[in-house]
Order: sequence, then structure tokens, then C-alpha cells
Amino acid sequence: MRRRDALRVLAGLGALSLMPGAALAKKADRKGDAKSEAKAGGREPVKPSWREGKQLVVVLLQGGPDGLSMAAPTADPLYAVLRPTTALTAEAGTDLGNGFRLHPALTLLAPLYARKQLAVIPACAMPGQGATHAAALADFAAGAPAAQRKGKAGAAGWLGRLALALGGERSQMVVASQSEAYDGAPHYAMLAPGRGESLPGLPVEDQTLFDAAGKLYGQAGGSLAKAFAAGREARQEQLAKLLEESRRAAAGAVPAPHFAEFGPRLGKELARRRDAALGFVAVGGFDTHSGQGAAKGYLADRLRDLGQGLAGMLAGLGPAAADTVVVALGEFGRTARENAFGGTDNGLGGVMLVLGGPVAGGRVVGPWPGLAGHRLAGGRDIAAATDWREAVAAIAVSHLGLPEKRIPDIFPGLGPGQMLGGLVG
Amino acid sequence: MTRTARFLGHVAAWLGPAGLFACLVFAAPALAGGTEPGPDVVQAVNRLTYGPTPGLLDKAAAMGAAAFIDAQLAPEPQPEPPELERALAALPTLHKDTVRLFREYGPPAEEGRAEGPEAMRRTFDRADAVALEAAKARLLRAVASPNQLAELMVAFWCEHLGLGPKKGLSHLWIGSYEREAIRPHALGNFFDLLAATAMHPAMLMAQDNWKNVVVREAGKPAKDSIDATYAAVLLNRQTLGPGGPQKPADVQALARILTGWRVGAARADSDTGGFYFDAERHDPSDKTLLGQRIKGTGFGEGAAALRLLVEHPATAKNISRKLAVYFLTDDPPPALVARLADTFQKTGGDIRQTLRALFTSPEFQDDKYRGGRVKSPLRQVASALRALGAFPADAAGLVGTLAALGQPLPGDAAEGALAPAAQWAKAEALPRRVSLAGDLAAGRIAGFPAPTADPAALARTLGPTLSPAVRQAAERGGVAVILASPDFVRY
Repeated sequence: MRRRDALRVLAGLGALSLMPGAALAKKADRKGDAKSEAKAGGREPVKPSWREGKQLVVVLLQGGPDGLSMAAPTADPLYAVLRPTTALTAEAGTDLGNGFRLHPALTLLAPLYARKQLAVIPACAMPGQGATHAAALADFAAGAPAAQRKGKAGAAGWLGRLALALGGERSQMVVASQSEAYDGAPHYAMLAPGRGESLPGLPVEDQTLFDAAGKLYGQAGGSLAKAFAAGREARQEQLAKLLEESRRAAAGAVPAPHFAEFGPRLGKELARRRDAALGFVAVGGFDTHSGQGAAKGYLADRLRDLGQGLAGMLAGLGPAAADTVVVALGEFGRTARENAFGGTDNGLGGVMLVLGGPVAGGRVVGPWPGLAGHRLAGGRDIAAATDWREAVAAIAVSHLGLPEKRIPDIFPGLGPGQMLGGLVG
Repeated sequence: MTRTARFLGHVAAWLGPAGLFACLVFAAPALAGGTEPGPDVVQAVNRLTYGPTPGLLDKAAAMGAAAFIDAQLAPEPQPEPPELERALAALPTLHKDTVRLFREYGPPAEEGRAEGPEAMRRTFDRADAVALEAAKARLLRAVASPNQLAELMVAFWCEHLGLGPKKGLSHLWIGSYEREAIRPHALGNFFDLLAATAMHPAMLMAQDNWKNVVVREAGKPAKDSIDATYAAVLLNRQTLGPGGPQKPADVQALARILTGWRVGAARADSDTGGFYFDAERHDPSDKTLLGQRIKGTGFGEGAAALRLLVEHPATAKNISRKLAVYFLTDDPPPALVARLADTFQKTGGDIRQTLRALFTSPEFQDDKYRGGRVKSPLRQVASALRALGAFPADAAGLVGTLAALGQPLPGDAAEGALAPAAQWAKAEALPRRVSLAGDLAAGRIAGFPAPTADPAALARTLGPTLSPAVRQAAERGGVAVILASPDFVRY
């Protein structure tokens, strides 16, 4: 309690609450930014609307996890066609209803689904968002695609704007990763995830087999041998690029294997910090361009990490979980078709998980556009059937107490009251 | 059960009712110390099938190459193995004709228009699901049908007389088009085949002939609405071919001949399968096609025109050349093509006789055409499954694999293209065969668990097509090395 009081004091002084070792030296002059931002929104600063004790925690699954694996549409006949080596079978994992199955590695979340404390939103993305990690992360942080970002409002992050709208200058937040999403927030406490298990590299195709084949093609000689050698070299270059991209995509985030053990600690901290309306953590390791696997494999391991971390976080929250909503989503989803390396590439629609006591869960929420070619965005990606911002807006309004009319201040482009109804009870 | 007996039992299961015979002919050379199938046998099996199954090379060797070719050309199809029958029976839309498919999966009569694009998309969703079953069936039959030459010819005609990219609802009928227009005539007469495709709703929709009409008022032509898309495809690709004698005026004349060939509800016994000749939308005038007068007799004009095209020497040459490319080499010797064209013309477009002329030609057994082709993705996948003696529980993953390898089956996202083999030898295509081999051998592909065949069994099946180097490499690297090897990628 003493520490909490100390934090409040610091907050009142306009300084930042700091955790040892993870100092985020944000300056006090942010206050000025915040005020001018509120004015730039064309509104007088309104009185704090936050329902005290209510919390929203955003878990950014950095790299963009594969929605078709997290909640697999196994009933769709095109699923296995698009995913020859990465599809789950119709028996794997837990039945979510509506033709979806929860990945078996997320089995720790299955009891939450049964208790209706987990909602699964497939085909979830922000329409018009960027297609590269950097662009998509920037769009995620801004809460609007680049084309809709204007003026000063666009400079701050959506969590920052939400913090101001909820609690004004006194607004508190607990963060465990750096992100522009909470730029503009008056105060936040950084919880250092510390050192832990690091992220393993993506598996690559069987080089022994390629070597053996390469030798045989070499012996065969002729144009075929030349073509094979050239093809293999090009393939290796392409793979190296993808692996490098995957590695970068996890930068700055808590490695998924570490999140498995960090989740409970984060949960406990969030339980202590009921003065914080918002929490944020980024988890890395979902940019599976190669060797993704199916029920078992690289992605399964990362999803198991995630399931452990999320379940542990809720356990760590304890009774406070009844007042906490956790959302987990990527900066984007992945391609409908798997790629040439047994992986998936950067796509659009992904899966958003919404967990916690207040969630009206136990169901698949939102429309499912389907996997047919004429249903895919650009003929390759899962379409954005549900805008994640509408889900977050619903939580901000129904759970945290944000006035409906303020939704456009948080998410430029959304209208007042534009939100996914019925998501939280 | 001893290992040999199990193996023989497996062969028997694969060859169905012919199994016992197969076991006997297989066992005979084995007991006698084994006779290597000669290069003529290997060539016949490689080119007339999607690849050897366990024991097939030995069986063909016992028969001799000529008898093997005869058997594949035999008019009576061999019964399909029970495994295949069961798998096909599990695809319910395979047994529905064009009219029924439309009634059950087409746009709802009223609701469709009212709901606009979303209702249309739902109709396309249903059509996609139907088309996917057709694609699965094609792959399953390529793997397990004993009528391998017929299956190769179905693939050939489905490409030559293809529906092109998805258009309207034509892909709802990809399967019924194959079943009703192509399959019955794949080894039959080219005129029957061409007429069946010309009258099929899938073709009428895909090539827009359904809207190729002349509007009449008071019995007189009042407004032309000629759409020459199909006429152009028919002349420039399906019959006379590129470089044929046709002029733009011939395309227009043929289009006029085919006015009123439309899709409609079955109104009379003659209007079966969704075809409808609308005399009120037909141009009744006389036409001149390739210098020949075609009298304005209504529906009969079309038959006369198709007959004229089928009998034209340019068509004989076009089809013959394409068959020689498909079965022998990308650049077939002109003398061979001329002889085939001669047979084609003399027999009035008899496909079976033309093929017989090809398979019994000296060129077919010319050393320089042996083992030099790179398999298409369909052949790569089908031959691998055949050689492993394995049958997929569900073909969806394998259908997707074909698309990933660059040759989607019709019914998958895009129309499969039957490209010359050289395309498959391209740099980027080859390493993917290696990863495919690894995926197949490890059972990573959905619906296809890891095969039980060991490298020795697989090497026995593939016989002399495998070099000692590959056999040796496979001792350490397993079946994946064989499937990834240049010896297996070529045929």
C-alpha cells in the first residue's frame, strides 16, 4: 500500500511513477501536450468518467498471430485446401461452436470459454491498416490507419487518449512494454518483465533432405541441376529474409516463452494497481513465416506460452479478474494460404481474444466472412469483418465508463456509439 | 501374415478385382528371380499412367508393353477399387447433374435479387464447395483409378476444352461439366466430345454464349446482340487452333450460327442438362463458314458447323500435336504429328485410334523421349501417392498442395493450366518438390498420414526408373529422398 500511495503522490506532482531498472524517463511536460490535445479535440476537458477499479489490459501479440490456427475454422471445406501442412483437424483442441476449434495449445483457456469468460472474435482487424509490421504497429498505436490520422490527435496513441478521456490528468496505467500506443498518457508505471526465456528461431525446412536432393541433382547434371541449384539459392535467400523479418517483428516485446512465466506476475501487479484503468504488454513471437506447424510445432509452442501467460495473468489478478477485461490481438493477421515454407505471411484479419469476468463470453463473436477466394481481402487475406476498435470501444464504454460520444476521440474514424454491442456484460 | 503376403495383399487391394491376376503375374517373375521391366514397358507405364503403383511395372512387364497399352485403350473401363468408391461416395455433389446442382446450390429463386451482392456471394460460396468436391474427385481418381489413361485424357480435355477463369456460376458446374461432357467421350469421338461441351451450361456460361442472341420482332431479326467469345475460343483454340485458316469473318459467322444456344430450364425432353435452343433468339439467315455455305436451319446449323470444324485438317493437326505434346515431348516431330492427324481425319476424330497411333509409333519408344520430362504438380503428387501405395483419407490438403505448387485443379481457386513440362523445370519450382517430398514422407499434409512404405519397397515399385545413386541415398535419407530425387521428378 505504501508504494501505491507513493505512486499517487508522484502522479499528483505530474511526475512519472518508475519501477527500478525500467525507467521510462517521460518528462513532466507531457501534461502540456495532453492539455493541448484535449483542446485540439475541440472539447473542454471533461470530468473523469472512469468507473473506479475497472480495468482494461491490452496484450499486443506482436508479429501478428495466425487466426486460422488460434480459432481454426475446421468446418470450412476450404480450410485444409488453404493450409495443407498447417491446418488443425476437426478433432483437435476444443469446440468453440460455429465451426471453430480452439487450438489445442490454448487448452488452458478452454475452461474460461466454458465459464463464458472468454469471447473469440475471428476475422478481426482495422480496415485499411498497413501491411508491414512497422506500418501496422504504427496504425495499431494510433488507433487509426495512416490515411485517417490527422493533426495532433494523430500524434498520440489511442491508449494515451483513452487514459485522458477516462481519468484526465490523474489517469494511471501499468505497462510492461514500450509502445507508441500509450503516447500522450499522463502517467504510467512500467513493470519490467525482467530477463527470462528467449524466443527460439523459426524452424526451417529439412536441410538434410535438401542437401541429399541437391547432391543427386548435381550428379544428374544438365539444365535440371543448374535450375535446382539456382532455385535452392533463391529459396534460401528468401527464407533468410523472412527469418530476419520474424526476428525483428518480436523486437521490444516480451518473448512469448517468457510471457508464460511473466503473465502471473503481471496479473498480481494489475491486481495491486486498481488505480490503473489501463494496462499494456506486448508479447513477441508470432510472425511465423516458416515451419509454423499445426497441432504441434513452433506456433503451437508460442500459443501454449500465450495460453499459460494469459491464464496465469487472470490467476494473478485473483478476485480483481472480476473487474478486468483482457484483450489479446496482433497488429494484423496472416495470409489465408500457407506459404512455400510451411508458414504464413503477413495478412489482415486475425483473431482477438477477450477475457475476464465482465466478458459475455463462451461464444464466437462477430461475422465470419469465410475462406472462399471471393471472400478474402485482396484475394489473399482474411477480411476484416470486425474492427478491433469497435470491440475495444465497447469495453471502454460498457466496462470502463467512457461516454459513448467520446469514442471518436479515442478512435478517429469511428462514430459516437460505434461499438460492438454485448461484448461485456 | 508374412511380409510378402502382406505386400501381395496390398497389391491385390489396389488392383481390385484384377488383383488376383496381378498377384500371380507379379509373383511369377519374382519366383523366377525377377525380370527387369524393359525401357519400353517403363515408357508405356510412365506415359499412360500417373506413375507406377506397387507391382505395376512387373505386371506390365509380364504383359508386355503392347498389351499394357491395349488394356489402357480398352473401351470397357475397369472397376474402381472399393477405397476409391468409398471416397467418391463421400462427396455427395458428385452424383448430381447440372440441373439438380443448379436447383440445390444455385441462387435462390426470389431471395437472390432482393439481397444483392451478399446473396450472390453466398451462392458463390456454395458453388465453391461443390467445385472443391470435383477437384478432390479428380485427384483421388488420378491416384487410384485403374483407368489411368482415361483419367489422363479427362485432365487433357478439361484443359483443352476448359472453362477458363471463374465466371458467373460456371464453376458450380465444373464437376458436372467433367462428368457429363468430358468423361463419356474422353477416349471416344471428338465430335461427340465437342458437341457435348458446346451444349453444356458450364461452357455456355463460361464463354458467354448464353447471351449470344439475335432479338426478333414479328419473326424478323430486329437487334443483334452477337457475342463471339465462344466462337473465337472454339475456332482459335479448341478446333482449328492458332495459325489455322480462320478469318475474323469466320468467327462472326460461327457466332451467328450459335445464336440462341442458351441455358434454360428443361422444357422438353430434348432440352436436357440445362441446354436450351431458343429459336426466337437465333439468327435464321444463311451463313458462310470457312468458305462453306451453312443453310439457316436453326439448331441443325450448329451441328453442321461443328462437323465441318471436326473434319477440318487444321483441327486434326491441332489436336494431334497437342496430344503428342501431352504424352511425348514439348516439341514433337512433325512427321509423327502428320501421321496422327491422318489417323484422326481418317477415323472421323476417333480419339482412341489417334492415341493408339501415337503409342504404337516408333517415336513413342525413341530413347531420346524417355525419362526427360519434368512432372507437372498433379503428376508429382499423384505419382508419389501411387508409388507409396497410399490413399488419402481426405484430399483437401493435397488439392491445396497442387495450388501451392502452381497447378491448381479446376474447382480450386483458379483453372489449372496444362503447361508444357519445361515450366515445371524452372528454378523456383524444383525446390518445392523437395519440400513436398519431405511433407509427404513425414505425414505433414492434412488428410495424408505418414506412409508406411520403406525405401526398399518404394525402390522396388519404381524399378529401373531409380538410379543406384538414389537408391543408395535413400538408404540413409528414407523415402523422402526418393520422392525428392531428380529420378522421381522426371518421367
